[in-house]
Amino acid sequence: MRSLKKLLAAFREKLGVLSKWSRAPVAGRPGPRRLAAFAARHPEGAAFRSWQSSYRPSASFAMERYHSINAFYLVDESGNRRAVRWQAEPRTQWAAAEGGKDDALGQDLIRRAAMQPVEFELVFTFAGPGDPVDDPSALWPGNRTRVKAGSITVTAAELQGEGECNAINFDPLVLPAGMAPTATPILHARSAAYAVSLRRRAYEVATGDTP
Amino acid sequence: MKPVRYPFALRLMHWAMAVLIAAQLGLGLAMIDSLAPWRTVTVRIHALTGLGLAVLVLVRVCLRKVSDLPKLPGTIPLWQRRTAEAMHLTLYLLMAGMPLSGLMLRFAAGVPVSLPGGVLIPSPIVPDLVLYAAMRELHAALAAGLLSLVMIHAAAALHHALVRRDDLHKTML
Repeated sequence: MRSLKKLLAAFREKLGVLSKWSRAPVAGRPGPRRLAAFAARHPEGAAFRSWQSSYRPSASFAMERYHSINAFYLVDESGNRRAVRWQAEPRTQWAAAEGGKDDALGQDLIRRAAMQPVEFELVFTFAGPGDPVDDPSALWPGNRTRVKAGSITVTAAELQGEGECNAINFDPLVLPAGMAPTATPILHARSAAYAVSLRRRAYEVATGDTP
Repeated sequence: MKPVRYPFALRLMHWAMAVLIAAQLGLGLAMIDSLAPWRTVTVRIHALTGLGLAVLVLVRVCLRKVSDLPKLPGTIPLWQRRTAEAMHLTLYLLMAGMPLSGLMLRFAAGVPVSLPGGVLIPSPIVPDLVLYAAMRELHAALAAGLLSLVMIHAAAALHHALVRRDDLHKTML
């Protein structure tokens, strides 16, 4: 009886989602102590926090390193697969121009790309035997095979708001032939969350109203 | 003399599509705001089944055009016969609108359709947020409409079978 009630309640909630966004965010009281408590409850975040404490953001998008965080499978023609994480490593060395305005980083990238191509090296790091493939919070040992897979060249950039990419859902599970997602739960959750985010953003752009 | 039952092919399609549509509505509701890993494969099944249903709707409409269909008996008041016709037409419009809006919302977001065997159909249109919003909200509204109409349709059939006992439901059995 109770499970039937639960089922009915869940069904009603699902119906509500069809017409509106039923779960309004509930504002809590923010504070560093809550963050510390959260960190204590989630020890798997320790590797990230240790990286974060030594990380210094670069002065430009063109000089930043980008990580896939999640692992993906590379699949060959006979179906063998190997897990990789990828990084885009900057080739740009020259320092940033002046900043401080609105969209400083976006404007910086637009200026740089107009002057000369902004290049990144795409590097695949292969998982070794027993490396945690489905856990993005766990580091792989530093001596894993790294292969230069290609380069990314940015020849033009534009601000996101009016840009051509604004309407695209960058679903991490839209993959080219030869790549497959790992079972990483967060990878699949990202795909789901981006779909919800796109729906809300599109609704806002189309109606001028927040859902 | 009109046949007393729908032709076998149409009866088969009715029940097969009833099952598929119920599954699609259930899947859609279950996955709509789920962050669980099973959602990935569910979205794929939902999209492929939707494409299949689009083909089935087309075949079914053509079959209806070329088949002898049973008429509602004259014992049923005219307004009810008119209502039934309008409801059936609306059901067909919804059954066609669901896969179309589903396909369009995918393309409007720049997401390709992936068919079995690794075949990817890239979006043939320029991604567009306003079109996406229209298609996404339409898909949800049509789903709510279809769910409601299916329930009214089933309730009406049960009413004829259990209350009026005029054997109307047997045209589809």
